[in-house]
Amino acid sequence: MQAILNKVDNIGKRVVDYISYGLETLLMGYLSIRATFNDKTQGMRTIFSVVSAQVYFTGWQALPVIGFLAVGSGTAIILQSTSQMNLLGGTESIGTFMMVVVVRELAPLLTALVVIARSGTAVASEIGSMRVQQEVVALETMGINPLSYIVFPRLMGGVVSVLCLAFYFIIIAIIGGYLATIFMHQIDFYYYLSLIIQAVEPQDIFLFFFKNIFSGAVIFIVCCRHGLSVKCSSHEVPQVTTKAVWMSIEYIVIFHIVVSGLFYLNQLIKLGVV
Amino acid sequence: MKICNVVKPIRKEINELKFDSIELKRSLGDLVLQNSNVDLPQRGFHQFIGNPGVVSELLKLIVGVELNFKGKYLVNGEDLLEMTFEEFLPFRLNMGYGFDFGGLLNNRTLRQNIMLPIEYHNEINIGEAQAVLAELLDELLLNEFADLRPAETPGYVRKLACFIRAIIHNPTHLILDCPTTAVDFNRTEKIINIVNHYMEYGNLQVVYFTSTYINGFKDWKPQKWLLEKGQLNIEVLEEAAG
Repeated sequence: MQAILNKVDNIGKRVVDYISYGLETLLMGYLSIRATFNDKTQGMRTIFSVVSAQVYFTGWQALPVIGFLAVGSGTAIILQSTSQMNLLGGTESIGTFMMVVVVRELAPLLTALVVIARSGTAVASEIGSMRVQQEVVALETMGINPLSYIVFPRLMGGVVSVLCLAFYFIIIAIIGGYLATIFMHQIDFYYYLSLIIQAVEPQDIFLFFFKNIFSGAVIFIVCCRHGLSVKCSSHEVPQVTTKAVWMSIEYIVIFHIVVSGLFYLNQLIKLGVV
Repeated sequence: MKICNVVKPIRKEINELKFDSIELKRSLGDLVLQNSNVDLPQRGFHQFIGNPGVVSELLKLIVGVELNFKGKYLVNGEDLLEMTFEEFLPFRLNMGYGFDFGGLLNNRTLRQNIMLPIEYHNEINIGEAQAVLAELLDELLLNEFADLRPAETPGYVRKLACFIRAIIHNPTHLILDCPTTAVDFNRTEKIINIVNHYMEYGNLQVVYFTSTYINGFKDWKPQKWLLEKGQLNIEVLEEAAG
């Protein structure tokens, strides 16, 4: 009995830790925004030059990887759905299928994972190294708030990049996927496109923004937070980077499961099934 | 030699820097200050002597980046620990801090490093600052390194870049942590001359520094402070006492 209670106790502790970590992370995001807009003396130009650099590294340089993944995903989905739907007697549902799988689920999730792998690691290790080299202290001595100079531009750049990359993923998956499979099915492109456009609903747009803004924000705040937690030794840098990646993946995956679950529960309630 | 003019009134004058029962330890556990009550002078040159790492920690406390202490550090009567970053900023802009080691951003060139706080705070005309920087780089023979990143330059160049960054914005308080380590005699003389020039024609009022190069700063006739066993006391020289 005691062993079971201990296990329950441990689970409870982990859940509390998890929630408090999440709240602290959100607080850091809030403080970085506050520090940026609260201090009237600072030059926003310097901050936005860091934002643009972040968008370049996270967004622009990730286009080939995202494009490659998008073509792969689009191709697989189109091939699978056309073959399955042909068996069932029609391809009218392909638009809805692309919408459901690509726009709602795959684009936000795969984009977030690519951004974690490419930029989350880079941000955590870069900031960790900055801590070791006393660059963060140097910023403070110059009156530059690390929250507004380090965290805010990465947060802002990250959100913008993830949004753009997810949109790019969708476009490439829809068009690239079609082109890659052009010789294997008989669907007219305009018919295919019209099916997808018909399948778009206002909640898809909301879901797209909600998931991607959250992903961008969480990845970069978590990675900045871990990077800033380095104390004085460079051997801590890879450790915090690994931790940052793991925490980001955990948060993103759990968030996507919860949001998708709630979304479909809402659909079922609307249909009167639940 | 030109000196930058502050055109935007953000800064606040520092009239008092006071330790009130401060207890500070280094992260490694060494004692820096214990129940220390010191009213730091606001004029002249002051050299802190003691265990190098410990004295560096003291300078970091003075500049307001070492916050892991007990007691009160009063800046114009206000407790540093109760001030937000933004509240302390007007005082901080009147301080220039030259690092012992590190402190330059590795992804920026030396020129960009030095210009960063000026571009960020926008309280000094950038064109004017660039002209002053060119003059200082010339004076300290650093022109060939100005557009290189810190990792591409020798240690003494990084040291001098830190010094320029600390003084270029024309502060009232200059805090230098071993400013001449690895710097040759010729450039050390130039550092001393530049500081003297800022003391005479600029806003500079007080210099707190530490250095193992004892004789180099004789011209400044610094007040020497001994940091030992957690206490910061004015050093009474034997010959003076005798």
